[in-house]
Amino acid sequence: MSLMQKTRRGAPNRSAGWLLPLSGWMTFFYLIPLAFIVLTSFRTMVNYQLTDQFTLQNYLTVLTEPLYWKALRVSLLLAVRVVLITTLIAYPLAMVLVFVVPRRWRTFFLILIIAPFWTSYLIRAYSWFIVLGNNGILNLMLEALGFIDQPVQILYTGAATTIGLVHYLLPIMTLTIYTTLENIDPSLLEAANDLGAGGIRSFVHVILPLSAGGLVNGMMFLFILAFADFVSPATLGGQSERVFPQLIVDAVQWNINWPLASALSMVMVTVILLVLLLLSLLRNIGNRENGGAGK
Amino acid sequence: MEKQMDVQLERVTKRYEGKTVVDRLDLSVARGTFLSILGPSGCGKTTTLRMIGGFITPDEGTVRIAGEDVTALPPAARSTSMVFQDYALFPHMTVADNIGFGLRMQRVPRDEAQKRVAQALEMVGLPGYGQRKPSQLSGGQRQRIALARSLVLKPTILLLDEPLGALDAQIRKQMQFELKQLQTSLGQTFLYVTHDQEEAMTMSDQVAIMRGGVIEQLGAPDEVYDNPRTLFVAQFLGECSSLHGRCEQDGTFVSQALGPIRGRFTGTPFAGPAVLCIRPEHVVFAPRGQQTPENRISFPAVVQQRMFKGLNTWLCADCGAERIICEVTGKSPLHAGEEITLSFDPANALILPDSGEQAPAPAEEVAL
Repeated sequence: MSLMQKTRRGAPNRSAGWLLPLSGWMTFFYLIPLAFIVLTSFRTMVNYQLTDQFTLQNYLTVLTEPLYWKALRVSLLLAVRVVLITTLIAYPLAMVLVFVVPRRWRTFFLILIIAPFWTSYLIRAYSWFIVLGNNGILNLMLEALGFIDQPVQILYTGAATTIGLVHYLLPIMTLTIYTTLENIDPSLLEAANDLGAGGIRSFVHVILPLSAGGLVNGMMFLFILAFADFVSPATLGGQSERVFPQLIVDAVQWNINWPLASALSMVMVTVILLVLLLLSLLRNIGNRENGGAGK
Repeated sequence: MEKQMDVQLERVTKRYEGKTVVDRLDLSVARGTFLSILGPSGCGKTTTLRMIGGFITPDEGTVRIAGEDVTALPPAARSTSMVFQDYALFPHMTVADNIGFGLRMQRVPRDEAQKRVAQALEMVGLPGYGQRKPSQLSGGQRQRIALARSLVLKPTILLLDEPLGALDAQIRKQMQFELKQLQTSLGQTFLYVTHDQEEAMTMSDQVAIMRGGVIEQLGAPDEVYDNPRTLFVAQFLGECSSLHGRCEQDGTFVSQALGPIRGRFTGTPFAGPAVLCIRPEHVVFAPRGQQTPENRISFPAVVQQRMFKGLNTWLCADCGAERIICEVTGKSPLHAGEEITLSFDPANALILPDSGEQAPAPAEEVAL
């Protein structure tokens, strides 16, 4: 349904030919490897060699081992937290850019927002050490201001992971919402204002519903990136709150158990698909309600 | 007894980056008037309308609505309602929700709101369209919904910013008729901004012709048409041919092309550089050599171009250095190069001050 809406403007039939290279690319570099992972997840490893024997043991291990359940919970909570915090910062930021900043200044601010992307994500994650470490800027400032006597442990906690991820994803979300908000016809806001809606009610009745699509798309994107991220948890996070992707890395690197790693990957893919499904359902319900609002 | 004034602008000024867009403008609109603000793009007409609606705050001057000073109030706090050029219907709401939006904001009880929405749909001739989305409507229908959305709030003044600009000629004519009918039956004040002189003339009780941030002339359409004070007004409201020359102390207009003419002044008589302005319908042609009545000004001319306009035909003819347009009812067998005699009654020739600027000749504009 939502896919249909997106292609409705272009002529789907005419553009079908253009899709051929893309579908070839998808088949070779995504679907075939994925099929290999699916196949591998049902096999076993003997003496560091894959065997052809079919087994469900890998999935049983994943589903019965509390370690994996805990990691799944940590990952989900982290992703949800990151999505919510990023959205709550990005949305007002994008609103200020579109509705407050004069047009000629916008490019300047957009560049400021995109600028962090010119640095590698890994370096950006490590650079948080300077801020969040026990002798970091934050702790020194809090001490100098007399709020604390001893350094607060932020680095190597879930909080540090969250900060790293939010910092990583904020530009993406801000740009997504910015584009959506910029597409709203300014005369709609004038009309709302003219019909008696102040700032808050214009936001609730016009801006928010008209940007809901972009908002949900952005949140989906954010969720996938945050849920599957390995860099921030591995650098900034501690050993007590290990995330699901870290366990996959463990299975590949330390246990050299590719079937188990494949089964773990399939669980992740399934969780992501379920969340995407949930979000698109929410969006469709939202669309329907907006249509019938105030009846 | 003075009539209730719905809008009063007092020395309203708006500047953008040092450029004065609206310049110490005064305007009073009596209740129940259909007033069109007419002018070329950039004349300040939309800015004026938006200042009345509250979307723009004037730099100087006062805006009064029904006697109350609203200069500092936002659109939401004014009893005006705007119909936007691109309709500005909320795409995510149904037609009924669009029309009911203002009522909802005013916290009108649901039952009453529903009733008023139904009435508004009835009024614009679209009953039963409530559950559709704006995207399912044609341009003309969207325009009607935008109208209903504003009128359902019973505003003191309805502001219309070139609302028919995006419609086809056919629907435009129809909407002009409907708008006027609606305004008459409601007895409401309509302020209508347009650059289309025909639109302004057909619907309005009053037209204000704006140029360079000031109102150049204000009056009933026929009155302004018959008595334009400037060449700009004469050429913007209707068509006219202009002869350049000068006006003597005794009130005769003298030009190289035609000699002395005792034309009519629309303002106070003056002496100096002047333009003689003649409407195409006041020019009559005859075959060369035929006698014309004594009291008419007649002169030889050569047909340059024939323009068939349906109900009538325009003959663009050259007489010396000037070009005169003559309107003929129905078709004309004459073609380019034919030698004719043109004549007009001097009482229909208007003597206007020549401000020295060269307005584009309407005939050339049409020919392009």
